[in-house]
Parts: sequence; structure tokens; C-alpha cells
Amino acid sequence: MDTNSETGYHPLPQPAEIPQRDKEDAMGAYLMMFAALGAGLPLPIINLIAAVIYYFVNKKASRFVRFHTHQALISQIPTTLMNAVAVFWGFRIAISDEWDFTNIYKGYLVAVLIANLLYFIFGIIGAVKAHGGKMYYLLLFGKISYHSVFKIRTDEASETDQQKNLPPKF
Amino acid sequence: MRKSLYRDLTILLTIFVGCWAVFTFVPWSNFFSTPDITMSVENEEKLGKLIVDYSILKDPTITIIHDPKIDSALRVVTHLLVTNIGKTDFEYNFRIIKSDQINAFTLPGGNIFIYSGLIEFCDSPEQLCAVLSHEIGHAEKRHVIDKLVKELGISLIFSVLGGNDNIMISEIGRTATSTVFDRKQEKEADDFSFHLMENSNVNPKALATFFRKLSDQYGEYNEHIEILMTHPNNNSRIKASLEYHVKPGFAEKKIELDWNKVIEVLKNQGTQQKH
Repeated sequence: MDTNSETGYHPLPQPAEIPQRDKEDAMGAYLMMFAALGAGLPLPIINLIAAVIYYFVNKKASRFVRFHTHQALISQIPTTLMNAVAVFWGFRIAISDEWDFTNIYKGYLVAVLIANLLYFIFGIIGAVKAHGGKMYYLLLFGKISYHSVFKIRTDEASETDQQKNLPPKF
Repeated sequence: MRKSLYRDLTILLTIFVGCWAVFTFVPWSNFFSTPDITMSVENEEKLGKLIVDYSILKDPTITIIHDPKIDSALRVVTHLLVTNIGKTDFEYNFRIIKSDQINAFTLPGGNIFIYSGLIEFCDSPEQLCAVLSHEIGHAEKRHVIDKLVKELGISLIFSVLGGNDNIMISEIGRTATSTVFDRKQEKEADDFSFHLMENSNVNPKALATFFRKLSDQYGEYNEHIEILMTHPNNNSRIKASLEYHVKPGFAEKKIELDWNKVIEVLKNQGTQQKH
């Protein structure tokens, strides 16, 4: 097994080692969620459901694919929540006398729009990198996904030790 | 690891909250608002007169009530309000339209029309006062001309001021009488009416009693009272009226009118002539 118990993480696969199929699956994680995002508007929840399904479908895939699907999944949680708040807030403004179209809401909408644009740009970069067989770490989410996918779990380590051929004990 | 994650999280949160805060204080109105209305008061009055002449007075389906007793009673209320507006650009004209509808509307230039159904619906002159104050609020805040300019364009309105295009004037009149104000404008008119009633020594809660009676009798929304009830939910308007704090020393004065008599005359007035 390709473990590196010194760092506590599995070694990273290099572009030349990754099969083309894995590269395409990893890229698909980012591209699929953009398509689902479009389909999910104005209720921004379908993209999240699609990402969860894609993640579980690829749960048995290589770590490279799992890393990208995991990153694509968790990185869209904040923007999905922000979009949901914007829709809910806007809906309340439309139907309620008590809620006004305030500058706070306008500021929020612009901030959410920027967040979505940045997310879109970084998602495209992630897809391109994944297609090239490269790791790409988004701020915060990259580290979480790397830790989640490449961390050697204690059960994995003990399994590895059990499988190792060891010399006789003198 | 944990420290690094917290640092990244702090960076992301700071960027988002920073963007939100910055864009909250952006003067949005400078970017999105339409240019201020460039129509002078004189032109608005001219347009108002054209609409009244061609669209209301010449409309065979509209009957204007002229009865000395009713006019006199209406004058008591309107005089009280007009003398307490303060500085105003308009010379107000109030006319009663014979109709069962509970409605009132404002046309450009301070022309206010009240349906006889609305007067009959009011329990007191103070309630009529409240509705008229609200309509004066629309006129003073220039909501009607604002809507017309937005819907039809300033050039079209200027083009009819010569008074030669009767069809177009009628069309503008139709737009003006069917104009539905947005919530912000309704609130502005309500706020104006509270101040005007207070200055006129009429209790601003009269607007609440009027709306409550409407809601009680017709529910939250009724097509016959659409203009008064632009937004289905009247609760906030009732609440605003009830919560309005009059200034210290406010002394409510009852309007001295035999209201039952006024209603009786209005109901029984037989000779309704046009103009």
C-alpha cells in the first residue's frame, strides 16, 4: 500500500501515474456542479444534492478523484447557503410589509454575487487542473479535503502493518 | 493543521463580510435611480387640467356630484387640511364622483377625486380626512407625475401639453387613474397623512379605523378598493397609524359636521348633474 507513515498522509499521485479516466472523473466533479447549479436556480439546492450523489458514486475511486469530488462538494456548501439566504430574504421582502429592500440586502446580494463569481472561476481552474492530473487546493477547502482523503487512518495503518512481510524475530 | 484551517476560515469570512459591509454603504440610488423629474409645477398643473377636462369631465360614464350641502360639507374637511399643509405648490381641487366604489385617486396638479361610495363608507368626517390626507400626500410627494413619467416617458407627456391630442390625453388620463403606487410611495403618503392630520388637530388613528373597517368588511383584499389597498396586507399600515406619536400638546378637535346628515343627503341627492 502506498502509505507514508512518517508524514501521516498517503503520498500524492503524480500526473503521469494517474489514469486518464481518473482525470476526467475528477474534472467532472467541478463541471457537473456548474450544470446542476444552473438547473437548481432559483432554488440553489439541486447542485448540492448532485454533488453529494457524485461524491458517493466515486467513493470507491482513487484518492485523486475522491479528493477533487470532496473539494467540489464542500466548497459549494457556503455559496449554496448564501444563495439560499439571498432567495429566502428576497422572498420575505416580496411578500412582507415588515421587510424592506434595504441597502443591507443590496450589499448582501452583491457580496453573494462576488462569492459565486469567485467560486465559478476557482471551480473552472480546479477542473482544468484536475484534467491535467494536478492537485489544486482551494483556500480552506483544499486542506480539509486533503486531510480527509489522504490522511492515513489508524485502521489503515494497522492493516498495512499486518499485510507487510516481516523478517523472522530472533 | 487546525491553526491553518482557522486562518483560512478567518480570511474567507473577512473577505465576505468586508464585501458585504462595503457594498451596504454604496450609494445605490446614485447608480440606479432615474433622473429627477424635470416637469415643473406649472406643467404638472397644465397636464392635470387637460386630464380632468378630457378624461374625466368629458367621460359620459363619470358623473360628478354637485350638491351645495355636500360641497359645503366636503369644503369643511378639505379647507381644514389644505390650510394645514403648509407650503404647497398646488391649488387643490376636490371633486366627488358618483359611484358605489370605495375609492379615491389623485391626478397631477392637486386634483383629487373621491367616490361617493367612499364617503358613505366613512363613519366620521375624521376618516374621510384621513383618506384625503393620504391622497394629498401622493400629490405633495408628486407620486402621480413620477409614475406617469416612468411609465410613459417625459417626452410623451410634454408632447400633449399643447392640448391638441385628445386621444393621447385620454390615454394618459387612463394611465393616471389606474396607477398603482408602490409600497414605498404608499408609506410616504401614509406618513404625510399622519403629520397633516396632526397639524389639523385630527387624530391620526382615524386612518387605522378606516383601514380596519375595510379589512373587517371586505377582508384583506378586494378588487373594488384596489387603489387604497395597494398591498394586500394592511396590518402594517394600521399598526403605523396606531403607533404614530403625536407631539406633546396635541389637542384633538372633532370636525363639526352632522355626518349622518351628510351621508343621508349624499344617498338621497337626486339631481346629479355633470360638472
